[in-house]
Parts: sequence; structure tokens; C-alpha cells
Amino acid sequence: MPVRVLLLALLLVVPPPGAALDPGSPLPAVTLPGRDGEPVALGALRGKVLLVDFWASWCAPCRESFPWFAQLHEELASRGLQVVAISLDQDRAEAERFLTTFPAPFTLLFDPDAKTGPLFALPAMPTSFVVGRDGMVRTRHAGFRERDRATLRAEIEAALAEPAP
Amino acid sequence: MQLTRPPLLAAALALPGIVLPASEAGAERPPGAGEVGLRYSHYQEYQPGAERIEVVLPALFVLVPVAEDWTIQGQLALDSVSGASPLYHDTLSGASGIGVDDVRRSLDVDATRYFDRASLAFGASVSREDDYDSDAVRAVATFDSADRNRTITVGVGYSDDTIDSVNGVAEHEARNTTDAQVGVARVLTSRDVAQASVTFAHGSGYYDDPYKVLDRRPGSRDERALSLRWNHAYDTPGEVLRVAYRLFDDSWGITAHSVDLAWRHPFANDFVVEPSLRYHSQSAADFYFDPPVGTGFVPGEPYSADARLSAFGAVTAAIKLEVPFGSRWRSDFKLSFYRQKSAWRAFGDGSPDLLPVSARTFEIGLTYEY
Amino acid sequence: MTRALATLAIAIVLAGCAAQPVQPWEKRLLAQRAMRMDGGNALERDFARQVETSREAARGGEGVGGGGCGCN
Repeated sequence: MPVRVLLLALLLVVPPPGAALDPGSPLPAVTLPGRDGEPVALGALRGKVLLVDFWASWCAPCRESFPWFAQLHEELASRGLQVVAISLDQDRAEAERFLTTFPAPFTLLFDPDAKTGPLFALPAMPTSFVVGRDGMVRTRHAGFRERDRATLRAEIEAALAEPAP
Repeated sequence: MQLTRPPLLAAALALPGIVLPASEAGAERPPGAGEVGLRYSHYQEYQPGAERIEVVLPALFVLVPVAEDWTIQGQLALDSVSGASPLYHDTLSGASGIGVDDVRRSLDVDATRYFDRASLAFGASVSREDDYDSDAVRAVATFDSADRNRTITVGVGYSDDTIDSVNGVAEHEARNTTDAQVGVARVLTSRDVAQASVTFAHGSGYYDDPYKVLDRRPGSRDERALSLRWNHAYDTPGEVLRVAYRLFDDSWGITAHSVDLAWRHPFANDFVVEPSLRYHSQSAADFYFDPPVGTGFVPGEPYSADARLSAFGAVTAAIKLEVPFGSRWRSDFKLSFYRQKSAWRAFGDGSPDLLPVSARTFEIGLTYEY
Repeated sequence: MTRALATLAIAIVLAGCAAQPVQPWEKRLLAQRAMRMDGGNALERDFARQVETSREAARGGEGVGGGGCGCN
């Protein structure tokens, strides 16, 4: 009987498969095609601070986040920040239409089969991760709101200030 | 001579409450964009042998995101009823077709605070006419599940109404209503959302129609409504099928079924055509008596010959066309036909000797998103 | 009958038949304005309800605390 209770308790405590990719975890190894079709491996970007953002053309907050990411890229790319936006649009054409309205001067990767969805256990659209130069996830943000700008910027600045591993 | 009030929008009619945000399971919240809507609606009613009743209703809708977690929503409407009263078997003066003019002004304001997985809204409504004033308040809370695939909504409302009929029959009579609603919306698949809700209302006070002879109704009314909705999206963006059913019953003995079907179909360059069909059927109130007026009347007992409390069926057929221009503007045109007939009642016979009612509405709307 | 129907309906929606919960990145079609339960146009919906409640005895199921009416 206590065993059963324990098992039940474990069931409640143990996270279900696909639980959140927590801060401190290594960035999953993924290779995805870029805008020109050339594959890009996330692992190859080690040494830079990454802002990895998962988005889709139909996601309303993405209309707010993209112009801000562009601005962030302009300001901090020289100091070692690389913004990587991964599109989960099934239809590439829809993603491209979005990009015409919201130009993205940063790295764009395309995942039409949403393989990265379960891999990163995305809790919402959009979701963004700040990744340190060591390839470890620092923080995760579900959604994008006004107040996320200040927080994200502070986290990126902190990661940029860390010495290279 | 008695002024016969057109039973139509005469007075205004139920001012809208806020619609359950519960419906938004699966959608992004809060709304990122503001919105302004203008709508002009025209209603015309016909009855055999009677003159026409007309209602004109211009309305304005404004939704403003405030700060990042708040939205304020307001609605202003002005409806004017004109034309002759319809020939109702229960109105003594109906046949003479006395002209009626009545204007109603109404204002609704709702403020919503959004949290990560919840929202809280407070709202108030004010409505004024010559003979009917209404003030109402409401509060609605929503809670999303962690995966945002389920939303629970809980709402309560209260309205305080005052009736002062122009013929002096009702002088400062009061009616108060409290209502509560609980609903659950759920994402079923990546293209289906369903919602179920129950509403309970308890009202007490003056319910008689002061413009009808021998109209005496109970001093309270308890209502229940069960509402089921299902929305289905097709592959084409914007193509959606909406199905809704409502079961209603009340302490006056009325049971009603209403079914709504709408199919939204985009075509050439983001134009949209939306045909819709609605069927309604209701049983009569316990104290509704068939004509001639006075049959079954017992002094001191509830009595009404109001056709709206009779047993009948009704069908609405509508078609809407949406025309976008630019990325922010949309316009729409809607035409609908309504017909009510005793013989169309489902699950039973309709009330005898009712005159069929027909109505036609035309609407033109303009929406701007910013 | 009303109660049985209500219970059944709520049970269906609560339990759902969704064996596989829909993931955030699969909500493209659900995020559309046209998928909102209110139909996406408050003024249009309110006018339709107004015409119905002025001619019929039933109401409710769409919200709470609406202002009253002189339509009885």
C-alpha cells in the first residue's frame, strides 16, 4: 500500500516526457536549413551568445518581437550576440510573407515539420532561449510581452559579459 | 387611445452582456491590436394585413489595449423604432396602426486585466429609453490550463431596471436580475474548438407588458440556458464552420431549442462569403392563452396573450459578404430574413391562430484594426 | 432531461476526446480570428441577439449582466 502511494506520488512528481528544457541544460543539437537552403548546425555557433527564438507567421506577439530582435541584432552582434529565429510554419510561403512585412537581418532557420517543438518542449508561441557562450541554456521566455524586452536584454548583457569558456 | 408599443426592439432589447472570453481557448491573449467598429443595422418587420415596423440602429465599438496587460472596450448604440404597431391579435388597438416612435441609447464599458494564464473583466451597461431604464454590472474571470488547451470561465452579473410606461400603467416599477455563468472551452484538435456553458438567471419585479390589456405575469422568473458551441477550421485560412446549440428553460414553463450554423468561406483576394442558418423552437408559457383575448383569464392569476410567449418555430437565413481593403480595414454587408410560424415548432404543436411574422434586416459594417 | 443533457455536454468538453493534446506550434488554424467563439464581431452578434430576444422568449448562454430591455 505505501508502495502504491509512493508510485502515485512519483507519477505526480516525475515530469512527463517532453518536459521543459530548463536553464542549465545544454542546447539540443539540431541542424536546420537556412533561408538559402544551406544547413546550419546550432552546435557550430558555440562561442557566441545566442538568442534562439521559435516563431510562426500566425503568432501575434511575433509581430512585436521581430522588430525588436532586429534592433537587438544591430546593437549587439558586434559584441558576440547571434539572434537565431526558427520558423515553425508548415508553409514556407507564409513565413516568407511575414518576413516581407517584418524584415529579419539575423539568422533564420526553417523547421516546417516542427521537429524542434518537442525537442525544446516549447510551452508557447513564441518561445525564446538565451544561450551562453558555453552552449548552455541560461533562461527561457514563453510568449513575448513588453516587459520581456528589459529582462531579455539584461540576461543577454550578462551572458555577453561572461568570459569565453 | 392606447399607445401600442411595438413588441420589437421597442425597447431595446437585451443589451448585450460581454461574451465569454472562454471561447478563446487556444488563441493568443491579450489581443495585441486595438479595434474600432462602426455598424449600421436596419430592421423591417411585416405581418399580414399590418403596416411595417422599422428599426434603425447605428452602433460604435472601440477596443483599446492599455498598458500591456489591460484592454478597455466600449460600445455605444442608438436604436430608433418607428412605424405602425403590428397587428397582433392580442392588442386591442393594434388594428388602428398607431404610429410609434421610441429611441434607446445604450453604453457598455468593459475593462479586462490579462494575467499569464487568466483574465479578469469588469463591465457596466447603461440603457435609457422613454419608458425603460436599465443599469447593469458584471464580472467575468477566465482560467487557462497550463497547455492553454482548456479555458474555464466564471461570470456573474446584476441588472437593475425601471419601467415607467408612457400610458401611466406602470409607474416606476422595478425589476432586478442576477445571473451567473460557468463555461468550459477546449481545444479538441488542431482545427476544432468546443465550448459548453450553463447560465442561470433569477429575476424579480415587474414583468407585465403595460401596453397590453389583461397582461399579468408572475413577479419572478428563473431561467436556465445550456449552450454548446463547436468551431471547425478547414485547410484554407479563414474557412470556418461554426455550429451552436442552446437549450433554454424557465420557471414560466417555456422550453426552447435554438440551433445556429454558419459557414465562412474565403474566395478571391480575401473576400469572404458567409451563409448562415438558424432554427428556433419554443413551447408556450404556462399562462399564455390562445386568442381571442380574454379566453382563460381568471382575475388574480397570471395571464398573457403576448405572441412571444406562445409556441412556435422560427427560421433565420442570412448571407454576409466581407470585403477587405488594405491590411487594416474590413467592410461587411449582411442581409437576413426571419420568419416565425406556429406550424414550425419542433416536438409539439404550435399555438393556434397566430399570424406569421416576417422580418428582413440589412447591415453594413466597417472595422479598423490598429 | 435538461440536466442529463447538460451533464453529458460538460463531461464531453471536460474530458474531451483529445488523446493527443494540441501543441503550441500546432495552433495556426486555431489562432485565426474566425475561430473565436463570438464570431469576431461584437456589433454584428449583438444586433442578431437583439432581433432574437425581441421576438422570442429564450435568451442567455452568451454572457452575463447584460442591460435589461423593455421587451419583457
